[in-house]
Amino acid sequence: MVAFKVLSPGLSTTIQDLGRERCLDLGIPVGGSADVFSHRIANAVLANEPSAATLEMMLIGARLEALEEADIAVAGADMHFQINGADAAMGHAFQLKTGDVMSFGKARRGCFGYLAVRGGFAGAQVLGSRSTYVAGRLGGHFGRALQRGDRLESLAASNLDSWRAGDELLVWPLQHERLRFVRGPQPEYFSEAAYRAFVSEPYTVSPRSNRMAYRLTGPVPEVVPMPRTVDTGSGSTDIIEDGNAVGAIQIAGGVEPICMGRDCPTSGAYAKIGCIITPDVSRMSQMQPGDTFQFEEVSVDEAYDISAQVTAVIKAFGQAPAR
Amino acid sequence: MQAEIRWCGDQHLALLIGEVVNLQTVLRVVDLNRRLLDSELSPLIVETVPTWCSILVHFDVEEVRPRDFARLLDEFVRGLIQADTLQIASRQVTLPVLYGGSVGPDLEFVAEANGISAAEAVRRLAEGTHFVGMISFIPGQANCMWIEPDLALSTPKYVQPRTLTPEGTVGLGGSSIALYSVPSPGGFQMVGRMPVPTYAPYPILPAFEASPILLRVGDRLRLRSIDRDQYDTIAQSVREGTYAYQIEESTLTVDLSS
Repeated sequence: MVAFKVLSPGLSTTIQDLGRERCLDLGIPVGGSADVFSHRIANAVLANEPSAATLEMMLIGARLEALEEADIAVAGADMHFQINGADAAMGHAFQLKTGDVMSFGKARRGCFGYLAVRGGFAGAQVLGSRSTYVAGRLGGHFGRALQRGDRLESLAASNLDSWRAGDELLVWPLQHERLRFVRGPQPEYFSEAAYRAFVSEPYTVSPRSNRMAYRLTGPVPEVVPMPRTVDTGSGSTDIIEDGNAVGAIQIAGGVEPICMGRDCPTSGAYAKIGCIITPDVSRMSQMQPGDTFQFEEVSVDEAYDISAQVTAVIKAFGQAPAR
Repeated sequence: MQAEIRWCGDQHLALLIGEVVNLQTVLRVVDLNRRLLDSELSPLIVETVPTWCSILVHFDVEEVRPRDFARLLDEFVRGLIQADTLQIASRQVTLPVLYGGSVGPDLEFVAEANGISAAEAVRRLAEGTHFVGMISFIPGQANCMWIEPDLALSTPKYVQPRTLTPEGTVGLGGSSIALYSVPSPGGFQMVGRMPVPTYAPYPILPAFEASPILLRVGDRLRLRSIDRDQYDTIAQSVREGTYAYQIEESTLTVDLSS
C-alpha cells in the first residue's frame, strides 16, 4: 500500500478505470477513462491489470507528494510531467522515494493525462467499478474530483515487472486529425449531400465540452424533413428518446453536432448521424477546445478490423519482454 | 416478431420495435429485452438499454463480429412469437409531490396548454397512474406515461433546455413525466417537486440498501398532492433517515393483441 497527498488538485482530477457494465438500464453511464488507450498503456508499463484504477487529469494537472516509496507511470496528454522539478519521461516506470513530488501543468497536447501506480489506486468500488461519476456522486474518491489535502492509497501489487512504452504508443491517441465513424442509427434524417459535406469540412471542439459530451462547431448537416408527431417533438432532428452509445454523434436542435463521451446521458432525443468507432473515442476525448479535425466514414467491417488491430497492439505491449 | 436493426458504431446495434409511445409498445420492448437476455445470444451481449420503442444492444466484439451478430439477432427476433397478453412484476409506489408555486413554476403554462385550470392539471397529475417505461438519461430517472389516456396532459418542451433542474423535480414533456433524480440539465416543464429522493449513491434511507435506484421499469406510480407543511415534514424525515416509502408488490397484465 502506497499513499499520496494531493498538494494541488488541478482542474478536474478523478479516479478512473475501464468503467461500468450493466448499469445503463439504471441511467448510469459507462464512465471510466475518457482515453481508455492511454489508461491501458500507463497500467501496462507497470504490469498492472488493465482494470487497475488510474488518476485522470483534465487540461491542467495535479501536484502530488509520495508519502511512501511508489512505482508510477504516466501516459496520455503531455502535461509537462516533472518529478521534484525535473522533467520526467512519459511511458516509463519511476520509483519514487518518500517525499518526492510529482507535478503536472497545463496540457500542451491532448486533454487527459493518466497517472498509474503499481497495483492501481484504491477508491470506492461502486456497481463494479472504481470510476468516479461526478454527476451521480459515486465511485472513486467520494464520488468527486480530488481536492487539496486529499490522501490517496494504492492497492497491493503482485508483480514487480515494468516496461517502457515507445513514442508510437504514447502519441497514437493524440493523433485526432481524422475521426472515423459508422453511419446510423438515424441515417434517414440526413441526405447523401449532408454526408458528403460532413466528411469534407473541418469541425472544431467547443469549450463547452467535457466527459459527458464533445460539442462541435462547423457546418450544419442538411436535415431531411421527417414526419413530426407528439412523440417525436417538433424540432427537425427530434426523435423518440432512444439509447445513447458512447461515440454517438447527435445533431442537437437540427444544428449542433454533439459527440457522446463516456459519462454521456444513457438516452437522447436527437437524431444521430453516425457513431465514432470505439478506438477513435479515445482520440476524440484527447481533443482540446479549439482543436479541429475531420470526420471519415468507414463501414462497420472496417471499424471492426481497426478496433481489433488497436486492441491487439495494446495487448502485445503488455506481453513485451521486460527491459 | 418484427423489429428493424440499425447500426450504432462497431459495438452496438439498435432494435426498433415501433414508432409510437404507448403502453403496448413499451411492454413489447420490456418483453423482447427480457427474452433476448434469457436467450442463447446472451453470452454475446454485454448489456442492453431498453427505451420507449427500441433496445440498444452492446455486443461483445471479443466473441462475435458485428455482421454475424446482426444476422443472429435478426434470426432470433423473426423466430419469436408475440404473446397476446403479458404479465409483469409491477409495484405500486406512491410518491408525495408539492405542485405549482416556486417548485413547479411551469404548472400554469401546462394548464393553459391543455385549456384547463391549474387545479384541474394537479388533479390529473395526482389521480393518474404513471407507468415507468424506462429508467434513463441520468441515474435513476424514471420516465413515465399515464395508464389512463383521458387523464393525460400534453405540453411542448422548453425551446432552449435549462442548464439546471433541481433534484426531485417532476417534469412534463409531450405526454411523458420525468422524475429528475439528480441536479441536471433538462427541457421538461417543471410542475412540482418531491421531498424524497429516487436516487441515492449511499444508503441514506433503508429503501436504498439494495440499490441506489428506487424505481424500476414496470412500476406504477401515484404522484399524490401534498402541501408545503407536509413537504417540510417529509423532507425532515428524509434528513433524519426515517422516511419509509409506500411500495406494494403487485403484478400487471396487459393485452398486447391490439
